[in-house]
Amino acid sequence: MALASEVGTAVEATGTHAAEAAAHGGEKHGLLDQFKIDRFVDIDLGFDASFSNSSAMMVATVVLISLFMIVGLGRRRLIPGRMQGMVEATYEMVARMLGDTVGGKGAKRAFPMVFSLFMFLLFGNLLGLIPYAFTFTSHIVVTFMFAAVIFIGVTLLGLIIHRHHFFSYFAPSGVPIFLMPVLVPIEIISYIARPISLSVRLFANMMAGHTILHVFGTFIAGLAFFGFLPFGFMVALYGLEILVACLQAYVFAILTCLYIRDAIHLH
Amino acid sequence: MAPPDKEPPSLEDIDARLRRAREKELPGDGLKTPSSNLGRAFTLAVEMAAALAVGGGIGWYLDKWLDTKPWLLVVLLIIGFAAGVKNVMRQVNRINVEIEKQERDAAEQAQSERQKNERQKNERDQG
Repeated sequence: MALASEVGTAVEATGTHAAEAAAHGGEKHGLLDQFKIDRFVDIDLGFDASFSNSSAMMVATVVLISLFMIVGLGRRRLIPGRMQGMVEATYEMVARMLGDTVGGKGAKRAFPMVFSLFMFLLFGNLLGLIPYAFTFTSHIVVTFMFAAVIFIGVTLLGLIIHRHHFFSYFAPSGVPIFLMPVLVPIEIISYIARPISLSVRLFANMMAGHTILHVFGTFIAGLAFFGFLPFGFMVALYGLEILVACLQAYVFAILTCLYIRDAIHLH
Repeated sequence: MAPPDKEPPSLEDIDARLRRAREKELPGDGLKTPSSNLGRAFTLAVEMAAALAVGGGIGWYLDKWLDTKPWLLVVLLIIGFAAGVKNVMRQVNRINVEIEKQERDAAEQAQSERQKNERQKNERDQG
């Protein structure tokens, strides 16, 4: 039900936009306008640190996650209620994910970080699906910063644990020595490619999804009476987008787990 | 904490009841790994492109720095390609493991379902 009403508002929104654009004569609503950054408060710290719609959504995400956790764990029951059940389900999911990949003491230590990361991305992705909301995960700056922090952190972790043995990660074992000059650069590039594939995956998925939603929204407005045809498709597409939002947060988190495992166990 | 005036049910009891309820409500694991084939395919494409981009990027920058246009770009693009193939293969292996696990789970679930049905049938026959 909630889904249907959301789609309804999205459709209405597109409709009014089109009408407005027509009324103002020439004010265009481009395909990618939904990803535009609006600066609310200009802050200049030598670099642009303005409080924008993206920052606002991030703050909203953090507030909502905090509320979710506080309300869910407000009355700690042995037999959880609905809210507590939801919170515990997310906890168990991340704990299991870490247990399956990292395992042992490392899993316990990495839990707070992976859990925050997963919740932040999940809520960010899902909040972005609310009509008029901004999706901060659809910007590669945001996803790449996350990936870069993970990449640097994981590399430092490996260096601290294994010291110079960490570099054996780039030299596959059981390979004749004359192949090393070829294989080592391959390993290094495939290692450096990690943060890029990690960030591009999330950003491209979110951006593509939202752009497709926009395209179909325009179809509905453009087709007038026959708009119900793309409307039906859009309902299905919205369902798919909700799946993608959850899936991409999950994939990001599980890949982080795998990288942590690689740093701790090397291979 | 449980209220002190009432004897709380034992944890084993709660666990057994929870498991029964879960079996009734959720077929199989409630927290199954969500996955779609489109997502998997997309992942592979991104993996390939990222390695190529890194290889090409490093090559281009080194060329500019060492003034060896275009040789390092060519060499590193080829290495990047190899790295991409390697990453894709690693990813495919991971996906295969995932699919196998899903199939095993499904088979196990079907078997437990069969056993449950048989048990119920036996109970009915006896009763």
